[in-house]
Amino acid sequence: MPDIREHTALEIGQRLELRGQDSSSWIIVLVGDSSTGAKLEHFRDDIASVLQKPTRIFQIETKTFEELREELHNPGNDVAILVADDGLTAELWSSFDLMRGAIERAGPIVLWLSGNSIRHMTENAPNIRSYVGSSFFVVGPDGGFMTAEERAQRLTELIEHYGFGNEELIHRAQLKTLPPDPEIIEWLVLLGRGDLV
Amino acid sequence: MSLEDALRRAAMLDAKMHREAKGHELPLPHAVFSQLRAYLIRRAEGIAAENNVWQLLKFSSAIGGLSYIALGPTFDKGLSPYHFRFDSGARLSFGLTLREDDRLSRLVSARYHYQLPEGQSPAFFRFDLIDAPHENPLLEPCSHLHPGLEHVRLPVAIHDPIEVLDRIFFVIERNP
Amino acid sequence: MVDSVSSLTAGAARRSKFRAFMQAFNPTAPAQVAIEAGLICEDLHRSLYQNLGARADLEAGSLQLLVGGIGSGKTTELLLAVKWLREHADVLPLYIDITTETDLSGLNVGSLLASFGTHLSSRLQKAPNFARERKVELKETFQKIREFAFGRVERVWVSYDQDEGEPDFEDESTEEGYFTFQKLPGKLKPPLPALRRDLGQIVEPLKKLLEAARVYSKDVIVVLDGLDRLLVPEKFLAVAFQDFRVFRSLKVSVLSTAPISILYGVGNSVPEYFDRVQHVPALVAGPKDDLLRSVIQKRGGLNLMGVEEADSLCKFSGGVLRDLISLARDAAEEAYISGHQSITAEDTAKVVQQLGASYMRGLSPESIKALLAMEKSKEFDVSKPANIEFLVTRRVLEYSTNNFRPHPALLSAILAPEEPNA
Repeated sequence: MPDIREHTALEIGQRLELRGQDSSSWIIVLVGDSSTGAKLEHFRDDIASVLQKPTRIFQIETKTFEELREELHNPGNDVAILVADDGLTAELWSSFDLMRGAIERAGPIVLWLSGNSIRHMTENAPNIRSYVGSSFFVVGPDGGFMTAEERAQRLTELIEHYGFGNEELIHRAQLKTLPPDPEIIEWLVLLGRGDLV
Repeated sequence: MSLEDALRRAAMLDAKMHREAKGHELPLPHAVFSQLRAYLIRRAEGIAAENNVWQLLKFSSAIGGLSYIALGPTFDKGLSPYHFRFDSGARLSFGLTLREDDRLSRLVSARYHYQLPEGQSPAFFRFDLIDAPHENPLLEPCSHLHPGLEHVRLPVAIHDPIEVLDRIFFVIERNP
Repeated sequence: MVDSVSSLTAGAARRSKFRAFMQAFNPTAPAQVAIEAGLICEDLHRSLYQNLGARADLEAGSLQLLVGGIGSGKTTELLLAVKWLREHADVLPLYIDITTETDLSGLNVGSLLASFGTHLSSRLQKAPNFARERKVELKETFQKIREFAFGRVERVWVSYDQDEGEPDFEDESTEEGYFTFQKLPGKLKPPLPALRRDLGQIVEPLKKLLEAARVYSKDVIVVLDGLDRLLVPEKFLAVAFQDFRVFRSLKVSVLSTAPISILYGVGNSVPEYFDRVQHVPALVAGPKDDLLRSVIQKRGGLNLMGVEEADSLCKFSGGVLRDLISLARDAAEEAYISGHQSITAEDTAKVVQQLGASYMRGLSPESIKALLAMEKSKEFDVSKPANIEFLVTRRVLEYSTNNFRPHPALLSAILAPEEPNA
């Protein structure tokens, strides 16, 4: 079976944007077991930026039918990320499937699922699976985070420009004798010494 | 009327701008990064010059709640593969540091360097935001613009990063 | 500079063309929106909606079920029936999607009647030619229906012998006990035990409303959507059917969706209780059959793809309408992201593969073997629960009562050679 496609959050956002405002789209984003809250928040930031729409996060398990319906429709045109933990049982998936009609909305719905959740979903929520169709994605790395190599390159640039090294920088920062240049602050941040700013 | 008066007025203005800078709220650093990236991607779509924003714009978190967003080299010493390029031949690089504060962030420092094509005057525009008050705020205000001269710094209002880019893309670049 | 401007203009035009396509091929757009936009081929199921509407109109109190797999177009047929009834018959059709009214997992006897009552009340109260005096006369009736549906607060006496806790509201107390207020839930706010005798509370108010409606606007027909989500037939029979019997006694015709499982297995006695059970099958995509291609053509699909690509999508949709529209949308998305000017064979192959993979997800090796065996033997035993599950999850499609096949996209994914590890 082919692996689920890897896309950056921005690519996913661009697909949703292409589908149009108020497309009522449903997509699934698969996350690995080691997913963290930061990954979800970063994804939310990227989607909100691309679509220029507020993006809210909901934990499915913690909401009743009426709460979810009410919150998803107020407003109904932003982006809603519904997080389903592995613990969502077959019965809960069935219930969620039954309420598909009640939570249909103009704004896109993103189901944020783990591998186990996807299995439960496909078995117990066929109406939702039908809405998702083939829109399954894995959020892959997007090259935005500075690598160690890139950091080292910037540090070299700074050392060459100012004519003194990292240790001297830290020493002068502790003595508070550094100029308030933005580049100096960046240098301290690159060294992990934001505490000296 | 004297230089002392000018220094005094500059100090008052600088203190005011520092207060404004400290009070200027932005979303969390990664959200600012996402916004900038989406903005630059949209701008890049309208430019014939090749700009792979996903490779150009970088984000780094550090200890002490400070994050760093950068595009292009720290110092502009000529065209590089890391600059954002415009159809006019101009190029852009910038760096921002943000401090996280509860569910928001604040700009600690910023630099945006727009280098015009060779032979044009002024040669560049650079917007800077410095962290601490300079000993001579008349010469170096907290938030300032270099109009193509390294030693001339004219005070400018505190801006959101997107607002500075708006001036670069829609004012300076559009009016060569 | 001129080249940059013209390339930017070409880019904007391309984006606009693809966007228009995406709007026309939106598998999750509300069916009503698609109907109003003129995107629906009304004769796909041989104008089934007209037959349903005509019978509902001519036989007051008839019970008709519409049964079909997920994504087969049931809601569209119901809405077309409502439209037809409004245009051709002298009736008041009320369309109700019960899934938006209440949590189906807590559905109990009386819920459908409660929902019908609230819709009818609302319609009558808003009707411009419904006499004001009549609205005043029916005020108590509207209130009873509202309470039946949404519950009420009742003042009750609690003896100290039975007291189990603090009252919620201000109360008057004596030595023996106290008055307090108790919230009684309604039928649309679960949970409430299913008590058949409950229905008596709603029948009289409904009779009064129907009398009023018939004076103002003739017969009322209820069109119920969403009950097909009750995937097991037992729940459908246990709960929904009680309400249907009351509709019949009130001479209100019913058009309703129902789970496909009622046609097979343990549910196959259900159809006996209804005047008509209409099956909405998956559509056949064959070389001589233009029905599926007409769906693409009607939505302007051939503006962005060739006939071969269209036929490929038709084939691998298996005749499931939502899958066809979804495949077309996804193919356009792939084409756009890849920088193509139109949908290519490569784009269609990619999305077919992805759809097949989505059906394959969660299937055990035994299930995969069973599907392959089914494809080979062309036999399908509808009495087996595992096979009913294949039908419900659309891994197997029903083209008629004796023609079942694995979904072609799924089959293609199962039979695809394993990709070599990187």
